[in-house]
Amino acid sequence: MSATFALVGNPNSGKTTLFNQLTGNRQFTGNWPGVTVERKTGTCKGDHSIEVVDLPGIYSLSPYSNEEIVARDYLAGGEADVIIDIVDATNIERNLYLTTQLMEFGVPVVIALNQMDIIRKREVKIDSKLISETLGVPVVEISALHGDGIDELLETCKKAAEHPQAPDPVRFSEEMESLIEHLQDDLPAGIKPEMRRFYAIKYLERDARVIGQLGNMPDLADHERAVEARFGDKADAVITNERYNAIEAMLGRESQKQVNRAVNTERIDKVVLNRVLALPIFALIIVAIYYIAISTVGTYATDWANDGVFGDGWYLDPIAIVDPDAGAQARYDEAAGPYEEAQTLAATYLEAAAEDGVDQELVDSVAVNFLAEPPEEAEYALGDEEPDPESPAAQRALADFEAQAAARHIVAEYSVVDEEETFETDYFVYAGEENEALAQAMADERNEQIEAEGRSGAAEAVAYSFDGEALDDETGEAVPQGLAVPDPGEPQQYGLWIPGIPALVGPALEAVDCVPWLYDLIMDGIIAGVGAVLGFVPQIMILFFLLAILEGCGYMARVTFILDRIFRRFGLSGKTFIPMIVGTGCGVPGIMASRTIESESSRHLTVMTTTFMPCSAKLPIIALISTAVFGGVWWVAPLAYFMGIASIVMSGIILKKTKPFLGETTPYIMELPEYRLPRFVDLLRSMWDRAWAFIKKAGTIILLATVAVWFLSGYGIYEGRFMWVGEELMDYSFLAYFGNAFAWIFAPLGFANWQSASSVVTGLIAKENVIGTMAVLFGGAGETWSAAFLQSLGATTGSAALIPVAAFSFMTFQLLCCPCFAAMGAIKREMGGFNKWFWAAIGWECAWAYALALIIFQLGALLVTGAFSLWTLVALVLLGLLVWGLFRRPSAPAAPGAAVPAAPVGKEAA
Amino acid sequence: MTLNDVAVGGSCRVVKLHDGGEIRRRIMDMGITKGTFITVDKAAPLGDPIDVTVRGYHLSLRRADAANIEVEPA
Repeated sequence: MSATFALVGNPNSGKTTLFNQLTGNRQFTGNWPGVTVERKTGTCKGDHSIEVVDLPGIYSLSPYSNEEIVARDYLAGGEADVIIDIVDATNIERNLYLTTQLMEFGVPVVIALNQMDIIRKREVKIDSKLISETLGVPVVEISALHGDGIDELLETCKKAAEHPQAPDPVRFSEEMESLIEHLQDDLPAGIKPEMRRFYAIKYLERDARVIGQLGNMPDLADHERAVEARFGDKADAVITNERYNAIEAMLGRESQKQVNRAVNTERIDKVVLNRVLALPIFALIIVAIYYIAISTVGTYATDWANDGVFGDGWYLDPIAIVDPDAGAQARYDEAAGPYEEAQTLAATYLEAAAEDGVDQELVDSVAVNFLAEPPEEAEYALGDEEPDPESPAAQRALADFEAQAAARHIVAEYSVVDEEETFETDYFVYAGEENEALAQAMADERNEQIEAEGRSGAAEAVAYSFDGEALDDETGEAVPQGLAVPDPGEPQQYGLWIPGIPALVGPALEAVDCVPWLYDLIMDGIIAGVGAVLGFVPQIMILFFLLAILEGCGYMARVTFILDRIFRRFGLSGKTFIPMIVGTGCGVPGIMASRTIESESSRHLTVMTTTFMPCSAKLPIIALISTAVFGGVWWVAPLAYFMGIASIVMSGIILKKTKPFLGETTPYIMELPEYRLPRFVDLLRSMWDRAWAFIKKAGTIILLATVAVWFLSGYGIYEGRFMWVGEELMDYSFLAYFGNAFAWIFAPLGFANWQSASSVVTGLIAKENVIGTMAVLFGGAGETWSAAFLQSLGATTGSAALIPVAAFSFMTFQLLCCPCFAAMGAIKREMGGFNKWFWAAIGWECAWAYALALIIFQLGALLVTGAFSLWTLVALVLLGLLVWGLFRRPSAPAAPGAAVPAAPVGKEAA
Repeated sequence: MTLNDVAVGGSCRVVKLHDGGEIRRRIMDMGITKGTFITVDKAAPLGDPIDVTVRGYHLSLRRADAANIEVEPA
């Protein structure tokens, strides 16, 4: 038997949970009205001949918002063999109201009485037998969450499909019934007999869509006057009333009072919706989510992914979790720290000596013979000479170098900042005993300065020492100094070391004599680019986990309640907040979530601005800028989200005053669902499903884009020849030509280099590409390419002081400009095609991002350097326009409909 | 007297819904009909919207719309 079962019910009554139970699917569920906005189809788990359709939740069959039209049109189309009406038992009166309407479609109805587990726990009595007998339709008690009663429900539905029997609709009072009967006779002949009652009632209710479908119908005015005279109310009110009265009569008047025992919800709301605390609590929750996801746990996890899995490697070391100081990493650091420090110290001193006039030849010789990794220029200068510190030539060069440096009283300064970036140690390195006093004096002076400025740090004089020992003050033992500090050796010697992917793949490729270009493609292209994106998976998983809690617990609907008053000011409804939060996961469902917003102009405004919220693919950009430029301070990540909210709000204020958005007020009416403790498995599942989508994307779209970027940046035309340009001549690559073609556009924004311009374009394919492209263009696998990126920003702006400003402007533009193609597709669908609304959305997003980034960069530059240019003037004009847009009066008087509801509101506020 | 005039914590019974445009239909669908018992539970931090209990569940609506719902003390 093949059949189609349609799942219909109130929003948030558990349809999608039941759908997942029936089909074995994993559609997204949440705890707010309006999670499902599209109809979804699946086949039944045990019986593939049965199709199950999950419709968006509806409160009634009067088409009030878009998703209700979807549901109603589907049902009126007659495709469904059985309607599974899912009724939330904890909210039974209002849920059965829809049932009374569903029974008018002439299709068999089976009631699935959901949440019966909660009803039993609360010791409430709901007589499902009585409901079944009164309404004349089968009723099955279920718990969609726990999977109870699902088999029985299926059996009942199959039986109903085999012997279809139209339910007998709920009857109204005599006068109403005779009027409906009368109207049924007037209906066009084409309407099926079982649907005639439905159309007659809708016609009587003056349902605009039905009136449009029916065409020529007799005038209603006389009937309406009769109804009004008899009942003292309009026909639709009378019908609604009679439906509810029938339900009350069936359940008994006290039924709802019994059910309403959600004590916890009341308690939580007392705090969360408290008039004083509500807004601070909301702000705290939002800051906490993004702070945890990006700055704390998230950074820890991402560091592991970036430096470990996609870097050199990491220790599998359970001890370190309990006691980090005893772990393998700590032991390795203890050995490697002094070694690296001594190496850097020596290199610094050599550099200072060369600058101060010591023979370059001597400096190079010492560097090559004594440093573990001498500068390339030094190696090149000395040719093929094999380094040997013990050789007489090397010893002689060292002695000469020492003598020259000492005679010139060279003191090199070298600063080290500790890992927490709180304490700075300044070393003054000297050569020869006669210079100790000089270096000490410099250190003392610095110490005084540090104290005067109240900084956290210290200065000390350190003896120049390329090899040698010093006596420990306490033990009197000889301790290796300078370059005599031993090489720590391989990390494997300190614990169970898991090499990172580049460290594994690199040698493997070398071992099989991989051709150089393929080696580069894999290491510098794929691993660097895709790895840079995958490195953020832990952060994104944490974000998704926290969002799953937020979405599952029931707080989302509360936030719309808290924010409605504020958002209304900006021409938006409190419900705009839901697309915003969903959009921080991914813009596509965020844009789709706007469907629950009833007013069209408000919905358009929401679609236009939802992607201002940084989605998970933009999160790496935030993480990069916040760590590379601002040292990982806690406020950058929440600031990025705040900037998104501010952009939405300001766009709302400005656009609401323009003609297309004038007039219409946004309605707001929202059910506040009971709080639910989300199940841990559901949270994990939701987190994993979304993270997996992200990983899959990295392995497909991002991989392809990275390979393309690598090829286009590796090959180019230099001196008229097509050739491999590589890293040195990358400025002649095809990508450079391409990027340079429009890099000038971004000059006023502070990032006119072709690399940034290219990343804006690859970002359109997917926003993860911004980071992936940067990683390919500015360095290979595991290298710190972010520093190279910042340097290039310094080069384009012509001042190192402008780097943070340019980087912030770059982040602003990338976060706010038009979204990726997938999100643009969603905008197209919601706007109804490539129409003026679509282009208005894309245009506004680009213009907004450009203007804001320009203002930030130019005014930031003015503050930092004091330089005033034509662009500074442009920035000031744009800022002026922005302020004007925010504060001007609307260009035309608002339509009267808008002014009326606004008046009592204003009174309230006063 | 309208629902907008009911103090937080107070309760009332619906007498009639005045014409408030499209949203009137939705308010009725949500279960606010003649004779329905309503308790006003809370107001949002900025005084608007309000949170009411109707037919055993929580519904939030704006004061402007509440002003179109005529009620009597209960």
